Amino acid sequence: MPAKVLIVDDEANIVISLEFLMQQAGYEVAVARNGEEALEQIASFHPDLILLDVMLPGLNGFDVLQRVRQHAGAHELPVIMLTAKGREVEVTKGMALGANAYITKPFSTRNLLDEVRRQLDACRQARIDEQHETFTD
Amino acid sequence: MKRSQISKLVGVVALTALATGLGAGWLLAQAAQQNGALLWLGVALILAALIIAAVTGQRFVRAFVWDVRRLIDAGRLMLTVHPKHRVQPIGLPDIQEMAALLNQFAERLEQVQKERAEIVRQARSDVEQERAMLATLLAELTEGVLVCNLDGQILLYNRSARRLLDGSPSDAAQPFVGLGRSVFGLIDRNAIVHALEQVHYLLQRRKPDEQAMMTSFVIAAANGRLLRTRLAPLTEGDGSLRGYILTLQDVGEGIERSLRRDALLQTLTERQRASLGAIRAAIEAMESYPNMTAAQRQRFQQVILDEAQQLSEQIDEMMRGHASDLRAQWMLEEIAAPDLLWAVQRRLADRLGVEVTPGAMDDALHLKIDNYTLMQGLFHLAHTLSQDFGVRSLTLSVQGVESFAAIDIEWPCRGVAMERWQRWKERAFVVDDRDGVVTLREVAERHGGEVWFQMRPSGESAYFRLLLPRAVDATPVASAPAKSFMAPSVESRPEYYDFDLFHQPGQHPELDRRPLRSLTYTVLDAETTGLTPGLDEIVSIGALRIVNGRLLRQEVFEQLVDPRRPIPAAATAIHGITDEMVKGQPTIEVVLPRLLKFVEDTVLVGHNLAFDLRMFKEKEAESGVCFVNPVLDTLLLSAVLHPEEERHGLEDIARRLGVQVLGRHTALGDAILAGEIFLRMIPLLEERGIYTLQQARVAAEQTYFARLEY
Repeated sequence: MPAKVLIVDDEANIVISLEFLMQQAGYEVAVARNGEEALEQIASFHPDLILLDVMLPGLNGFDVLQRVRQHAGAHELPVIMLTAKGREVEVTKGMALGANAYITKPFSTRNLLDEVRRQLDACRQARIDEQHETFTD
Repeated sequence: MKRSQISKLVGVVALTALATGLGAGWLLAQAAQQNGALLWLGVALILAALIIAAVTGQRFVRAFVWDVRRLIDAGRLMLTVHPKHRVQPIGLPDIQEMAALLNQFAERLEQVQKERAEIVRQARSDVEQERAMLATLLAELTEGVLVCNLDGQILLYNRSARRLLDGSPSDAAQPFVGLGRSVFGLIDRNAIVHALEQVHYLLQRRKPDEQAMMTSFVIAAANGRLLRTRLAPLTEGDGSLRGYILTLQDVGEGIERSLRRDALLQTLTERQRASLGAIRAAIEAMESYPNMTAAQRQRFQQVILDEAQQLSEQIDEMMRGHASDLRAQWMLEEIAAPDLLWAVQRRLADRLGVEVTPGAMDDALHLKIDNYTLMQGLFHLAHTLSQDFGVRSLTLSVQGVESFAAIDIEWPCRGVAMERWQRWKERAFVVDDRDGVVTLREVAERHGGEVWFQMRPSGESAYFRLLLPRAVDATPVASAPAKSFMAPSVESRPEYYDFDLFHQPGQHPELDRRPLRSLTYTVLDAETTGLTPGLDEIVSIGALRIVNGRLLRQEVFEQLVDPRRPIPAAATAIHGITDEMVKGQPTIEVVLPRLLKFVEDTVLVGHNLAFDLRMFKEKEAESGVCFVNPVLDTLLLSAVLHPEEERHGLEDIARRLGVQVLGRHTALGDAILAGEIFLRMIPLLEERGIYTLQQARVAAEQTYFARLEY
């Protein structure tokens, strides 16, 4: 079963490329245009990873990230911040709030795909370890 | 011969003449019954006797009452304010001798005074030189300097301070810089109090090798200028705080420009990053998948075209939009983490009664903050926590996080709705005296930082984190390039200082009981189109201040006023003000509010001031200004001092008191003259037992002139 990636971004032009690239890489893709829509998609689409922009209408990316991390069970869900807000203080804030990676625009698509793969692998490995521990317990 | 003997002799002569005349007259009247001619002789004798008695009596009064009175008045003048005054030797030889003796005494006194003055002058020349050097240095400084006592009264200021703090002449509400005036009218009181608290703390934990005990902050002055202000304490020998020195630097323009550039750069960067991100992703997608369909390729090409177009538009829009970006700006100062913690702890405990426990603390950490604004922000946060949520105890920690400093305010808390806290940082609070409304998020942003709310993983406490820039390794401030000392020049001289104000009581004590010498006065005069209040108008007002017995010629109010009616030639002949001169000048309802500001907290002094005040009163409804200051009138005081004199005109009094008359019949010239006269009157009033404002007013009210009404 292909992994599910949720793209949260309000800029249509970047979404076109992201959607295309993720689909070509074999992921199942859903798109949210703002923070509220993102929370709904998380509940219905159950993504395995989120590509999250910071500057969104309504709830911003940091707000969404905090909601995600607040919910028990969502701790493992990898979130990659993908944003034009590239100041060091914003990167530090994103990481402090629980992002798994912080990538600033413009980014290399290859690096992005590598990061997506790495995060999904790490998450899968963590789940296997957890099951293994449960099993050995 | 003694005075009593003379008066006895004169009395005897007068009485003998009178008795002889009356007796001879009576005898002749008896004889006239027999001889009619003798009747007229008798009448003539009686008249002669009466004339001799009257003349003798008049001489007696002149010689022993008026001439003596004249000697006393002259002696008093010579002894006090007019040592060069001399008595005319007229009258009886004894009186003349006494006058000559008095003149000799006056000569001797003048000589002694001259010698003493010379000694004092020599003794003070060193001090004067140092003062001149200080004055020159201050005058040459581009930084403004203010020295204030703990009541906030200005004891010294330089020209730059005045330039930086004075308002524009058209703005009636602007306060003035001046000796004895309150600094709080010019700079936000809270900012100064806060800075003093910090300095006090620094003084307490002072180490012997530490020299500079100053703190700085950036503040918007009452005139709207953004000033970087440094406050250094003035201490007594025992280390107690006596006053403080403020140095001021205009940072408004520079900082606003650079921050606008910064904001422009940041916004441009963010938006361009987004566009470039879309372009790069599209190109890389086309590159990575060369076999994509024609429709897909067309779609990506369209993305690239759109984004490139947007990039150009963004740049144009930003250049237009940000050219007028004038939001208030901040300037950051360095502070050590423990000092910041202390200041916050103390403020929250003192003002809110909230217990603040120190948490994690990085002693070596230095932050770059705007002390005052940040403190307001944290105070607001703690205040809401305490008022709205009943939080009584907070933990405050300051520690390094990556290359930032994190200030965490933490409190015990379970299961809070996060939305509520998110809204918090957006809630506005008032920061400065310009009613600049700023949110916590903006405070963080303007420090180049971030703020957010978070629960601890344990779920038992929550905290607000302010992530702020760390100060780069503390480096000493580069010392100013050495400047060769310049000899004091007359032009650069006048600095305005009066350190005696250190000993002044507070700003608003019971004025009436205060000695005349200690009061602050405004001497004022107005020139008009004529002498009828209600019909005539004011064309010019001049005023200046007397502080600690000195007429401050640098602090003047001088304003022509458009009377909105022609000025009669007769009036122009007196004061020289023509219709052309007042054209375009402000009208009286604009000028009076500004004058009111100039005279506030002072006693008004003027010559025949009742007239000027009556003219002002006529304009009360138009200008909305009412002068309630206590008043002393030199016309009435002159009548108190010299009741025997008939003339109490400004020039008559000036001549009597030895004041040189210059520049008469300009409002300011007359005000200066009245001021000099008033200063000479103070010791004369004291000789008559009049020391306080109340005593002077009561004495003035009792004179004849006080009953004149306009």
